[in-house]
This record gives sequence, C-alpha cells and structure tokens, in this order.
Amino acid sequence: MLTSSPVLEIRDLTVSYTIEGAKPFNVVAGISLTIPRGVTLGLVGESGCGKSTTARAVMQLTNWSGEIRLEGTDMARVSTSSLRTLRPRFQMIFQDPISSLNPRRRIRQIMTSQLKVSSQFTSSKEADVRIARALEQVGMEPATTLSKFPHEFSGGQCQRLCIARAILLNPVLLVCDEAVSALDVSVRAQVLNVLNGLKASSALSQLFISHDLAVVKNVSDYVAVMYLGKICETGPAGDVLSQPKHPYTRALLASVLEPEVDEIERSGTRSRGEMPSVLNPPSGCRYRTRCVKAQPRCAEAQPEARSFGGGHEVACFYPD
Amino acid sequence: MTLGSAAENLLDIKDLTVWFETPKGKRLALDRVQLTVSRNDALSIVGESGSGKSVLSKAIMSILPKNAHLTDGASIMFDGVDMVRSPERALRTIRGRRIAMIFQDPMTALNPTRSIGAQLSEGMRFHFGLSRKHARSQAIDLLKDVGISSPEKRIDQFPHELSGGMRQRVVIAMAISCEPELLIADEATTALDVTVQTEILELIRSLRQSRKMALILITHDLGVAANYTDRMAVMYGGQILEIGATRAIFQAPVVPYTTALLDAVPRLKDEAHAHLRTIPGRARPFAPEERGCHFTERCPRAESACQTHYAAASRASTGQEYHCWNPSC
Repeated sequence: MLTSSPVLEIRDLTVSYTIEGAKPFNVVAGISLTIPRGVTLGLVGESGCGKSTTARAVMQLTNWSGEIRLEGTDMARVSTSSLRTLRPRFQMIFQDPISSLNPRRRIRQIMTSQLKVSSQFTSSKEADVRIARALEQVGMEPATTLSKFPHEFSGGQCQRLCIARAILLNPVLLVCDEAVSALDVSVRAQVLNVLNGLKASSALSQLFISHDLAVVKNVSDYVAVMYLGKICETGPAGDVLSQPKHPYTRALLASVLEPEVDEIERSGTRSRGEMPSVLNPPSGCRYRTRCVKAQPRCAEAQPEARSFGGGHEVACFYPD
Repeated sequence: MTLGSAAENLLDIKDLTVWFETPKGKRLALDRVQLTVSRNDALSIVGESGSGKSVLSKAIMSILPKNAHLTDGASIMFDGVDMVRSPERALRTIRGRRIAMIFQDPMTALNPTRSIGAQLSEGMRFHFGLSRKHARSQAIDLLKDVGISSPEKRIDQFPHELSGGMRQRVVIAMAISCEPELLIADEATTALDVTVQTEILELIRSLRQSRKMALILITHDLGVAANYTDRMAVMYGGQILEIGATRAIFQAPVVPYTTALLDAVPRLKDEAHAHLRTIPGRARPFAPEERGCHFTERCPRAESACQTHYAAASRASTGQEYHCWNPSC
C-alpha cells in the first residue's frame, strides 16, 4: 500500500490569511497536485501567485485546509510529536543559501546537528560516514569541507551544502523554493546538475518552485503553472512548455528571453497589465482580466480542469 | 562601432582602473577598461556578481564612494567633458540631465514621503528652471509616455500606492524627464516578474528609439542582453574580456569565459535534465598587483602568459574585440 501511494498528494489545498480590516482571503485557492516517487514537479508562476505558500503548507509551516498526504499519511491527522518523526522524510532548501547556514558553525557541526535534531545520531563515526556520503553526492570534497565555515564557500557551494544537509536524512521529498534564483549563471549550473543527479541516483521526488521556465524545464518531469492561487495548467514538462494550452502559460513562455540572437518567433499572446490583488480576486477565471482571449463567460464561472490526455490538464474555457 | 575620432563617441573610456581601500586591503574593481559608446548605441554589459559592471556605471556617473581610487591614466570623456577631473559643479549639469540612470529597486529609488509628481518635477525644475505648474504638466505627459494610465490621478499618489512595474515606469519617466543623451539601466528589470520585465524592456527600447538616446544596459541576464542590445561587453573580475556586436558574440564567442557562460545557461529548447556546463573554481576579489587575466585560474585554456599579462585588444574575424592569449578564432 505504502509503496504504491505517491510521495505527495495534494487535494483541494487552501491557505487563507487574515489581515486587519479585510475579510479572509485565499492565497492558495483550492489546488490539487500529485508527485509520484522519483518525479520532479516544477511549480511556476509570478510573485504573489502562491507558489511559496504551497511549499510552506507542504512543509507544515503554515495553517492550511484540504488534504495533504505524504507517502499516504494524512498530514491533517498528524500530531505535533509524530510530525517531528516525519519531518526527515520531507526537507526543504531555500532561495538564500548563505542565510540558511549558521555563520558561526563549522560545516561538520551544521551537518551533525541535522542528524541530532531528527534523532538519527548514533555515533560520531557513523555520522561522519553519512555526512561524507551526502557531501560526495553534491560534489563536495568532505576532507576539505568539514572544518570550514560557511563564509569560506561561494553561493553555489553553500547551496550544495544546503542540499547535502537536506539529503543527509534520506528524505523522499525535497522542496526547493527558488533554490537557484539568487545564484550566478555558472554556479547555478552546478546546483541544477546536482539536483538532476540526485533524481537519477536516489529516486528523490522534488517540488521545484521557480519563476524561471528554462530552469524548470531543465529539472522537471512535470510542470504546474500557478496564477493567483489557482493551477491553470499542469502536465508533462515537454507538453506544457512546448504545446501550452492555457493563455497564461503562453504569455509566460512569450516573456522568456532566451539567450539567442535569432529568437524563435514569439507568439503574440503576452499578458496585459499586472496581477490583480489577491485580496480582491476577479470573479470566474482569475486570469481573465489580463487574458487576451477573455469572453463574458470567463467572468461568470470558474473553468474546471479539463484533460488533454497524458496527464495534461488545463483550466480554461478557450484553450488552444 | 568603428574606432573614430573622440568627438564621434558620446562616451569614451580609456584605461579605467578603479580600486577600493577596504579593511582587508586594496581591492581592484575595474582593470584597464576601454569602452566607447556612440550616440545610437545600445550596449549591454554582462557579467556575474563581482565582475565590476555596477562600479563601471557609477564611475561613468562619477558617483563612486569615497574609498574608490582611480589610477592617474584613467579617463572618462562624456561628449568632450572630463568626468574624472571636472569640478562637482560642472558634473551636476550632466548627471540627471545628460546622463540618467535607472537602478534595480524602484522602491528605494523613489522617496516614499513625496508624491510622484513632486519627484518627477524635481529634475526639470532644477535643470531647466521650469515653474511648478509647467513642470507638473510636463510630468503628466511623461507618465503618459511611459504607459501609465490616468496620469492626472497617479501624479498625486505616493510610491506605495503603485505596483512594482508601475514604480519602475515612474523611475524611467524621471530618468528621461531631462531628455538625457545616455541612459544607464543597472539591472533595471531584475526585480520584476518576467511578464512585467518584457514590458519594461520594450518601453526602454521604444523610448531609446523615439528620443535618440544611447543606452547602457547592465545585466547578469544573457537573455536580456541578447534581445535588447546591439553591442555587448563581457566582464570578469573587473576586466572586459570580449566586446562587440551582440550577434557576433552569441554566434561565435572567442574568449573561453564567454563560451563557458553561454554553455552554463539552461534553454527552453534543450532536453529536460540536460547536463549543463559549469565553470570550476569560484570568483574572488583581486588585488591591484594582479596584472594578468583574472579568469586564468578558472580557464580551461590558460597558459603561462595569462597569469602575468592581460592581453591587449585584438579583433576577431567575426568583428568583436577580445582580450585573450588563447582565443577560439
């Protein structure tokens, strides 16, 4: 039973916030996603669309409603104490690797304390072996790394150290929130190679959040496109990114500036204007205010996800 | 693009070396930079963090911090005006008036306590001596020009009432208010969402063409450089390694660093999970005594000469200039 269930299953996930003087509003407004074992799902969208909030809900770092299942376990029913024993199964890496590492501790201490807080520390000897293995998996040399402080490494190396710390606990799911956005081009490539390598070697599932479509294409098997708290389009990465059906996906792709001088011709379906406030989302389809194909019907009802085969689903009345 | 007489070039930078006095010793920020910008140029300066691209833009504006030092031979001529040695009074008639700059973060570029109109009028009142009323009507026209709807209403609003994209439009309106001849955009779209980024870049492009401004676009994003500039300079460790037509550099890069940089970028048309090329080692600060090519220690084609000598500019058959002892051309 356990092996057949997906690593992450999200059904109708909603995250609401309240601020003074306003009615509660949904930052994530009923989304469903599934990540099978060994699969990387890229979650893309503009700032404020709710992708980081989705990650925080998966990590149990915010209140949510709906259904989240990790390896079949219903996270709504998990007590605080059993959550502690489950946490090693799902790990997260953040955008800024330098602030994610304690500047006053050596790498050995940082790694060891990860084992200790999750009660996986048995002996120094065994810990050293595990740490060395994790460091090697991210392409870092244990001998020259362990006694150094974080400031002695570049941003890309620090991000690899964060990945090493995360995989030290043998997680089944790694959540990467804009994990390569702050990195320079040459070091970003190192980190992407490491993430792709982990997928191949240890069948790790990943929820990879990014606003950069080319980066998402590089690491993902499946892609979900998010807009103002809703999923517009989801499916195999190749299908979604080369045959987009939702106008928003098309607009995002039309905005990608490829480092090529002879640009492949761009479709003329850019978005108009900017994302409306999540405090007061449009009626019906949330994208309709910026959509070039919007019709009166789009304001009246919310489009349901429709299947186009092969797992490709689109929530639009007028898909391409 | 051709090396003409000094007067033909709007901006002419020669042998610009800048170092900083820091608690850790002298740190080299720019090393022997040569650069010309003509009146119709759209030049991008690309490089990773620490490559010196922002220091270069500050040097052009002559707004370097006090601990920055220029070597004696350094020269920055803007349309015949010496930006290094002219008195502050003379520079003030150029900054904001003939050279304008747009920065990355529109929220910090705008004063949160003053209305859009007041900030937008300031330059025109200072440089052109416009009346409050005249400057206000000009400001409304400018907001229209940068694509802000209902400018009569927006002009009395404050920065926090606008979205990030709108704020950057206001910053652009401020920059072009005195009809500058040179616009410097320092990572001006980096903080914006992709869909907004293309809108802002299109706006800059159309303003440049309608107002005949020269543009220096400083960016770490090779896609921005490829799509929005005609010429490009690739910087590493404070040195320009390759400079020329953007098309030529993308099609046939000759310096190992440029090649490596282009190979490290994932592209949408690539296969999923494609292995990306990485550059071994890491960028580090340099001391003024380090006279060689700064990319040497990470370069796959380094020779002994690279360690000690920064190559003089040579021209590739594809047209671009490069500084490299072992070019692929």
